[in-house]
Amino acid sequence: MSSASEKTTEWVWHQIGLQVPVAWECLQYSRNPDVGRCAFADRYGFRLELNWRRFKSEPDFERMLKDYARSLESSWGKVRSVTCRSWPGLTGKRGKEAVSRFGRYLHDIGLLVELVFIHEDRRDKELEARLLPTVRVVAPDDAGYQQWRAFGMEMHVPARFTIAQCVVEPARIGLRFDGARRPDRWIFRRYGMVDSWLKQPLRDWLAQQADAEVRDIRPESTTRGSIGIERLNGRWKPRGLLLPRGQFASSAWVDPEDKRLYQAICITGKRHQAQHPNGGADEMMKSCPEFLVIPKIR
Amino acid sequence: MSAKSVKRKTTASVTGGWEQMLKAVPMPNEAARVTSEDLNGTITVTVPTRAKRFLFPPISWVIRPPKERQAVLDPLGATIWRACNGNRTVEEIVDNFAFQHRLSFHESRVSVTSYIKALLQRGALAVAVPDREA
Repeated sequence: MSSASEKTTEWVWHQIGLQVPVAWECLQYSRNPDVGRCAFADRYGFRLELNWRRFKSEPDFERMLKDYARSLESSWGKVRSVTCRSWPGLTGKRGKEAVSRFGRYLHDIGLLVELVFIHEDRRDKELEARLLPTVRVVAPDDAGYQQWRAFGMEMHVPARFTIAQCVVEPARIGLRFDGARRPDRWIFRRYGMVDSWLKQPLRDWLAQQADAEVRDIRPESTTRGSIGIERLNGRWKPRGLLLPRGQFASSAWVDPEDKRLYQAICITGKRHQAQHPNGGADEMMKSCPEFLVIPKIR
Repeated sequence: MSAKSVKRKTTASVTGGWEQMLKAVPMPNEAARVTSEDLNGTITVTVPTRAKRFLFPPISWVIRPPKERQAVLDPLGATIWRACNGNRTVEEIVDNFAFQHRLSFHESRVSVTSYIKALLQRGALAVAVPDREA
């Protein structure tokens, strides 16, 4: 079955954006901005790898491909050089699978990006031609926010923040971005199976989630389109004279489309005060229900 | 879906994947039986234990291991246990579980297979695996 006709959605990770079929899920990811990988799989196996590696200047990718082809010849058999939408690459057979590898240096962010397609049987040129041109650099916007779009969430965090933690479990996803100094910490969460565990009003649940360090809490209910949002704004004031203080904002909502609970928490110190979402933490996060593809019952 | 942070250098694209596992057919151990069922959906499955070789008299007069082992399954676990009836493949169970709880395929796969693994370890389930060539 060709995947080329499938609906796609954008994945943005470490400023690299690309369209991925919605039925493919990310099963491996790297937090390291200098070298790493995101690997996407359909229900039977890995289908796409997005690899990146930082280089100070443009590497000789053609040479790298030649060396790579030479090293693969023993295990892959015949390795061919190919070009797809001006992306240089090589392709070959690995057992029953056809594997194609394409690469390009993204000058703006100094990363060599490689896309590896693992086709079930034969090389799906249509799919490669469809996905490769969608690779782009997603630079921070004018307001100084970098964008991340992954695991059903679109997140905007200050450009200087780095991803510190990523937890991906069934029906429980959490990404934490930290600034260079305390207390800068923005957290984004997405929960599934909400009917099974949320047995109280969302407002009460959100209030329970707030740490003891949060003072002067101002709860607020609002709507965005058809989504009812609960907000908590306040001050981050830990006990202790020398502990840094800041602003606190937290929001939660259940998306009516995918029935998942989304929560955004922004703890922002003085340094990034201008970027703190005073309106509510939900300004920094959007739910992306298109990421959730539920299998049909058998 | 259980994504994990990549630390090793090997490629993710290892051949094979988990397709074989999805075609396996889990079935209840014939000796296992449901001994209690709560109104909230929790069930208790009792599995007889095998006598240890080294437990012969006089050691067995002193050490008396239980003749049965019990596994208490929460309502979600009970759903999976009932689905493992020997007629459905793991893939079908995963699909049904995903549909019932609005999960993606891999979220459901990780939940279901880890539960099946735990039930296998407790001896409540057995699994028929198809031939690799079939």
